Amino acid sequence: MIRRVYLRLEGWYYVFVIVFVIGGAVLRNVNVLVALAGLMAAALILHWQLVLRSLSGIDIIRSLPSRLCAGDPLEVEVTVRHRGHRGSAWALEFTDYFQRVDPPDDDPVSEVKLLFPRVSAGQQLTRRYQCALSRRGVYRFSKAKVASRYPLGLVEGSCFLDMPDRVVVYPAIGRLNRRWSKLIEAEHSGQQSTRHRQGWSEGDFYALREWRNGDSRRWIHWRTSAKLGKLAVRQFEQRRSADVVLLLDLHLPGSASNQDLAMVEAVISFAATVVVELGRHGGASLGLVVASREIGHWFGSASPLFAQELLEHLSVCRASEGVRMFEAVDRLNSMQRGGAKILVLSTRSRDDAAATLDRKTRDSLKWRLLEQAVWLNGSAGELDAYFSLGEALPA
Amino acid sequence: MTAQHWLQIHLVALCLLGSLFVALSTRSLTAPLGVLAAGVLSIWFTDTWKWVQLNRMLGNLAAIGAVLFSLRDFLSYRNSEGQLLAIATLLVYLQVILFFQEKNARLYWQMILLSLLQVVVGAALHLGVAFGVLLLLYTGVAISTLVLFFIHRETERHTELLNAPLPVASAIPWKRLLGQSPAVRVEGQAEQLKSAFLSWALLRQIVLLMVGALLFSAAFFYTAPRHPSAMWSGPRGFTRPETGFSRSVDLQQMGELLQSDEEVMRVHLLNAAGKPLPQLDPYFAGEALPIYEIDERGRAKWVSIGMSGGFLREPQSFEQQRERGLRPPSSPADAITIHASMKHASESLFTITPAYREASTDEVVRMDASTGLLFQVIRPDGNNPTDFYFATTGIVGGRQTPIAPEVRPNFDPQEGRGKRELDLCRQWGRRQQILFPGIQKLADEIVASRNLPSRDPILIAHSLEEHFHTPGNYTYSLNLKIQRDPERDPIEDFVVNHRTGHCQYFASALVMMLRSQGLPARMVVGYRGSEYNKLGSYYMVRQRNAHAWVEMYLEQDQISEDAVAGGIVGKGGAWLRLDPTPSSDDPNASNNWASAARDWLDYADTVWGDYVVSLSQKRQEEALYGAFQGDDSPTAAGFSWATWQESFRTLASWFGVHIGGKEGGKIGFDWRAALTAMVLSALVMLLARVVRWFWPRIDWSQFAFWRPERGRRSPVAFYNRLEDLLASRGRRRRPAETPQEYVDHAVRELSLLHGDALRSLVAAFYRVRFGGDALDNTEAQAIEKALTDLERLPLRDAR
Repeated sequence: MIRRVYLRLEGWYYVFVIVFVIGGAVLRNVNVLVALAGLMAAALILHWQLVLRSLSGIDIIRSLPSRLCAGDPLEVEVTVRHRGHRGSAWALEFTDYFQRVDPPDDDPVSEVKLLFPRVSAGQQLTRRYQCALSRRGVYRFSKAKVASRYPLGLVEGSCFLDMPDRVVVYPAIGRLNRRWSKLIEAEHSGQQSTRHRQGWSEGDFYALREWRNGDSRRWIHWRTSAKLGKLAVRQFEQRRSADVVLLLDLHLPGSASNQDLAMVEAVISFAATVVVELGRHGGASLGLVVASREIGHWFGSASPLFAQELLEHLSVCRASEGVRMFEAVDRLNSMQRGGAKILVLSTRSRDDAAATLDRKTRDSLKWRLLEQAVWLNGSAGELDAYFSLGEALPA
Repeated sequence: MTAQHWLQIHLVALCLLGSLFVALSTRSLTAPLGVLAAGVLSIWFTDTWKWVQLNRMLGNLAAIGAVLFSLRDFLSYRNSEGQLLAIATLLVYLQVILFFQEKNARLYWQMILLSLLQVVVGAALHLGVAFGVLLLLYTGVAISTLVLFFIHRETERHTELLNAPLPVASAIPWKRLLGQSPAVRVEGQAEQLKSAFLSWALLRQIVLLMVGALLFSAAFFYTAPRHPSAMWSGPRGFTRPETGFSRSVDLQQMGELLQSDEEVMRVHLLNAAGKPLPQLDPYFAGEALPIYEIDERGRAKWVSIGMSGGFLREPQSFEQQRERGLRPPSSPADAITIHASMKHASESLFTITPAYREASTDEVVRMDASTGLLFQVIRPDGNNPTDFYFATTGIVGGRQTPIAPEVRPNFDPQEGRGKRELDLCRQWGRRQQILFPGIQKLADEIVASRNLPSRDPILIAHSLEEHFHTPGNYTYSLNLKIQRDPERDPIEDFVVNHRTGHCQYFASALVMMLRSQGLPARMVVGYRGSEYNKLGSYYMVRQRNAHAWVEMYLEQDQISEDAVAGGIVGKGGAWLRLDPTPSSDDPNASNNWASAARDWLDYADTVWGDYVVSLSQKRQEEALYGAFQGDDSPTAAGFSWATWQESFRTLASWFGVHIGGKEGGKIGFDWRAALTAMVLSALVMLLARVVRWFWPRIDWSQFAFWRPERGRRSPVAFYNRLEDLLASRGRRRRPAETPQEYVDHAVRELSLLHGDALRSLVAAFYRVRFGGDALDNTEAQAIEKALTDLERLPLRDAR
């Protein structure tokens, strides 16, 4: 803990006034001004001491979640404990510093200040703050400052505390609509697909909910609907799960506009939402290939835990102008099992992506495999059909 | 009330105190009342209701107007005091303008600074003890104002984030996706935050801060090095028609004279044993005025012969008196030391006659060879002392002798300057007979009516003096709004016509009567009838004690042996003091409590004046550094008890404890008592520390036997102990809580780690208390362990 005490600007003005009074006392031999200067100097010195006392015997505990989704409020709880046996720590100002460190974008350091009016000896005081982090990534809470300017505000004492904490902010999770379900469930004629049947019809019943447009009339639970006076339908565990492999084509033009950047975020959010959705239902295999300057690929059984792992990767992935597409397809091919549905989530059209490849590569079998995949081009507004963040996606 | 309300009230109080510093010198309550009214009105109209709020532009314009207005006053004054007063008034105007502006941190700082400047200006205008009292008050209010201002600023800064709504996602899609800078919302209520500071603990902090500041300031003040030149002791530029000493007497004054309470000097009269001489009514002579003249404007005046270089003499000492063959005091024990501390350095010195030089007499003191009185030579740099030591033999047997021997070594009534001076004192020619026919006639009648056996000058003088004392003959009054006869000389007019006047008229009349009888007489001006302060053992001489009396010259053979108790009349003769002014009764004299209060006030003023306002380098060295300096320093050349004694004596005298005399008196210091006091003090401090350490660690439940319902013998004593322990750690049981709820809440609120053990304890309590069971050994041990663990937690205030 590094502790330092220094005069604030007001303190320097105050010292100037003391010097002025002492000057008057010396030049005119006025004893009363010596006394006045003494009083003023005494107040400053005692102030100095009180500031040091306020900072001694203080423990700070900060607790915060380690992960959350972009847009969700980050709740931080700070507790100040006074270890001393007497006296109080007055007007402690706790300053929390945090910064998004991954992806590294030179984000500014943000700070939050909390005031603890008085912490008596042997007691503790807790205060909370919420922070809306709307950008995905890894945020580092590296240090914190606790300061006191009590009682006059002329002198500030502060100490920096090493309180390393890390918060991963996942991409914003949106809502997949019914068309998405149909897309996943659709039986593509002529294609092989792996299906895991679960149950005899719609799946295992697990809850009731209100009726929505598009719900099958067969799902209506008539007895409950009669009781409630409105339609209630049964919900089932997913009847069938298909193996899904997602390929994120994070291409960003050389001179990217805000619209382009937003498109990348939209594609990542879509992917994150799909991962969460598939992980929640489980039961199938899930693969993810992130194509950018670097290629990342992960494959496993869809589960909340695996989804969380994928979200961690999605929260730090970056777009690039030079996407190594063919290598990505190579990875995709390696994890593609027979019948798995391949979804390409891209910021460009299939043709634009193909245009970056030479003819030989385009004609390869691997590339053809990709041509058979579902290609959702975000820049063409194709994501809107399946997904929303509550509002329209950028056109 | 919020911190801001307290701040506003304190700020008004601070500005009010600042303006009172100015009011001390102006003696007018206009400024403080104006500040008070403006402050109170601004709290309501500007800060609360916001009806009147000068914007910055208007405020600046008003300030410029105030500066121009004050500039006119400033330029109209010729002296620096008046100009300072104009500045002080400007500060008041600026404060009033600031009161009616919207308050922010800058404005608060400005107001605090203005009030501080008022103190600085006030320090140059008035330095009485009232200034010290106000400074104490000001310190307290200023510290609390600064603390409240700090709380106000801090809470305002942090209130902005309190419960601020987190931003709604932007309606613009790309903005929403790219994110915005992190928005923050702090939980809490603004009012809670503000009121969290306002507590008794804060008041205690402010008081401690103030006491600490005063102690530090005292140490700083007394150890800070001083310049050898004299300290500033207040302005002297304001002249008012008040009573007071003057080196000449003008009998043409009209109107009413005001009694001035301004301090002139404090006089310690100490006998050879160093004991003070109380309850005298001493005459302190300042100037002798033998010449009565009427100037070209027709103004009647008494003036002195005048001083010139040739007439300056070293003051005489006892030894010189002996060498001249005069009869010295019968023993040194007859000599009385006069220690006069003058408020301001002045040319005139005031002593009891006859006054002699002694060892401590400053070198600037000279004797006026034309009068025999003492004065000081003003140095070119004006850096003259204000403390003087003289010796006198004019007090014998506890009273001032009426006859003072002539001390001038070359004074000869028969020739030279002595003769010429006495001729002036005897001057009664044809002109005087024309001017004062009534006086001559009256004096003749008085002397004739007494049927004196001889022309004994002393008897004649006392007869004439008695005439003025006879009730009904004359009226003493400071109000000179009387019907005067402009055709008559003022003295003749006084005796023949109105017979109303003050001491100067009485003295003038007696001088003329004595001269009409051929007796040499002169008027003497100085002070008489000072107040004796029992606390400080000194005489307080004020301007209202200014007095005029008469001295008649007696030749050596006109004085009997026993007429002069001091017995030192030589061939130079002596002067007989006569005071024709009837005594005026002081209505407060008999009022004991008023007199005591006056003594306290005077003494406080004295201490303030001596040890704050006029603390000089010399005094500082005497009391603080003396013991550590010089060859006889205990550290430099072995232990010097005498040096330490002297330092201790001086230091004690600062606090009104006068130990021993100046001339070798013994210090009443008992080392056994000092040692005992030191040991006792150390023991008390040690005991206090031990009690302070033990107090929180005492298990008070062991002493609860006198509380039957909570006694140890109760089968549920363990639960009572638990309640005590939890209460002393900040959580009392609330009335509506069951024991189980109480423990659950306490465990949660105090974050206790051994909550399960405590819950088991409560379960055991229920079983014992309501089920009639007894605890087995294992349970009792577990409960004891839980309670012991709880005892180890730190104490805190109960909520």
